[in-house]
Amino acid sequence: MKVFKLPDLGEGLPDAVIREWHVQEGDSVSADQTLVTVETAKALVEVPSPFSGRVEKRYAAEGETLETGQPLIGFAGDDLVSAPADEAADEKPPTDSGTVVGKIEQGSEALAVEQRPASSRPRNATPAIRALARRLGVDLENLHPAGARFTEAEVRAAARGETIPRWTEKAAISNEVATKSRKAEEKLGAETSPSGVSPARRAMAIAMSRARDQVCPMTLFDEVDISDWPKGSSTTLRLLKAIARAAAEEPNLNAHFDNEALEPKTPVNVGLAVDAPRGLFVPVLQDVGAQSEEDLLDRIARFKQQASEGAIPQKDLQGATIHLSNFGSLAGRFATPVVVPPLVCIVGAGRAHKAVLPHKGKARVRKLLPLSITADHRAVTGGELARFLKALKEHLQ
Amino acid sequence: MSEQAQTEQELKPITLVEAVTQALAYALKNDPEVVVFGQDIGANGGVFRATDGLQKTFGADRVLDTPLAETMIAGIAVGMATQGLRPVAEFQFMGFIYPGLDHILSHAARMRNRTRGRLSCPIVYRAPYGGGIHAPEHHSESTEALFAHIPGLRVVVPSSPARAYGLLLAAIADPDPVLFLEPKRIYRAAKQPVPDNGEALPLDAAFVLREGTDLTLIAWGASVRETLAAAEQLASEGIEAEVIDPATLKPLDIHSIIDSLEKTRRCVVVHEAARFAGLGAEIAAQIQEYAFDLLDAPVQRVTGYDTVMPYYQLENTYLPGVERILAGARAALGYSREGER
Repeated sequence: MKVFKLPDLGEGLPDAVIREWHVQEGDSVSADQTLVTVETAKALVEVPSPFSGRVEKRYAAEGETLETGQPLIGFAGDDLVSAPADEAADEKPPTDSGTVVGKIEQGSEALAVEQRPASSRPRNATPAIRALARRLGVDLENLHPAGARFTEAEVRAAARGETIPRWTEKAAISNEVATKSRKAEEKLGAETSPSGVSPARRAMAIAMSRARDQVCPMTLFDEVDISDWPKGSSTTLRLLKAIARAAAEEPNLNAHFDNEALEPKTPVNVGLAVDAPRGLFVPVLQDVGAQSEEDLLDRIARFKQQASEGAIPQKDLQGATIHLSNFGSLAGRFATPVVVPPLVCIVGAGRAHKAVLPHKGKARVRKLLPLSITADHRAVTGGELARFLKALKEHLQ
Repeated sequence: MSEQAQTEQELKPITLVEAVTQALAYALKNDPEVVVFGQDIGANGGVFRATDGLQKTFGADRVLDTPLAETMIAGIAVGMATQGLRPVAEFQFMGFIYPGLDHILSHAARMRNRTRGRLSCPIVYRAPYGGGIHAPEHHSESTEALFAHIPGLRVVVPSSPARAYGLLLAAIADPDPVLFLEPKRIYRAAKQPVPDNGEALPLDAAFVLREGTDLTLIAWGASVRETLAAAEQLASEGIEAEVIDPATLKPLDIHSIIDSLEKTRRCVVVHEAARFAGLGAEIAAQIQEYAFDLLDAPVQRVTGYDTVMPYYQLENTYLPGVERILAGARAALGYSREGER
């Protein structure tokens, strides 16, 4: 027989009075079934059966007082099935409560290992400058400061849509900084600006502001007789090939200028101005001298399509050494094209037209292609520009 | 010339410690509830002569010598204050307060709260504090942050004779306990005419000691001297530093500091107390809480080191001098242009 003793009924009270038995000797009971109602000094408590089994003996009659730990009821057999639900309740509370005053909660929650929060934000602006940027609606995330941190002047310049590093110091800006700022601008061009202005237009504004503020432009105009071109010739293609050859003869026009030094480049990578509803795109045709005409035409066609869809890959927008704007495919004869630093030269081709000209001693109707070439006079001499134009003309005819 | 200006002109300039004596005498004379006591403060006149002559003038009932027992000094002040007196208790050095800390922290500072406002403790605990006088161990302490941390306790530090006089009178008049820390290094460093007119200066209000637009320097107690000297040096380089003395360290007048930061955007806190969890940390924390967007540089701290205040051979190394303050100032001024520190 297994004897179940009067348990501590949870209040540390020493005894209880049996008020009512709910089972008779010989009854079969299941675990958790109420065996007996006892009365403690505080309350009536129902005592559930800890086992399933048959009641063999009740140790106290109704009205009797039992002390905690005294036998209450005996079950037949020794291998009784415990009430699973009661196991947790039967678990002894920790003997040390951890305090003599108040209650200390004893939890079993396992805490994860603490980790230092990782920060990926660049620390390149002080709180005051961040506040200014917020106020002016400048997103510093996409910009780079000239120094370790943005200055107030830089943020204000960015708010005006101007490019960043040029306003910061009087001294010339290093290549590294110029590269950074270009990257920033390219980023600006690639992402949607919050103002609703298209990114390409915003990039154009930034690039042109910089051009206006830095470049000392000089422009030469001339016209080339293209009457002898085979029928169906692509003006753009012939211009590209002619630029490549002219640049080989006058390399200072196919160059970068970093405010201090002129650096001629090879090969000739022509940035081709492509007009699109979303703004101006200048995709780059790499090494035009080495590419076949078919490849160049394919590329140009692809760029035009991509520009109208607004998705020229970033890599195709980088690395130009000279610019070409064939605005004449639309309208206009002459222009003063804008040199965009760090480039030093842009070739503009106007609308080809027919004119009556003295040709071999006679008046003849000839086809002329107007050319407007702007160079940065800080980097390029007038002679160099004129010689470049001369070479260009020769290679176009 | 006005009558008052004439009087001021005739006033003999006094030192900071003499201004303390003058304020105590004024309070004893004009408020019969004021009682002054401490070790050797009566017949002897006090270790720094702060109570010189007071017992002779006001009698041994009002100016009492106590045994060498700081626990008792702190405790009887609580008893006196709750029963209607205005005790001004002196600890000989800040380093000897700690036996009395239980009374200050557990009773004086919380009596008003404990009795739901029925009783208060209008006590002034005076203590000379800080280093720089070639003293032995325990005599150079600057642990104002310990006390500023105690809810219910004011901590006040004067930095000139005039502020010693005006702030001590204000502390005595205040209905709650004040720890009045006297920078002993400048007890006799400078003299100033201080009219004995009983005019208190406001507690809980900072003093702008020098106006400037480029940098805010915050200092109290004896460090104010070096801080002002550093500000002069900066001025000779064209940098105008504003110098603020909070004077009441707890509660702190953060408003004046932020007003200054509106102009300067850069701040250096100077204190000779150890750096870790010093009041510079609290000031820096409040600045970033309330004025984060004003900052052009992290708040710099120029402080003592996290070590026991050394003996006199090294004490000038420990104390923030003009050069260290200038270095802190330059760190704040150069921050936006320099690389990350």
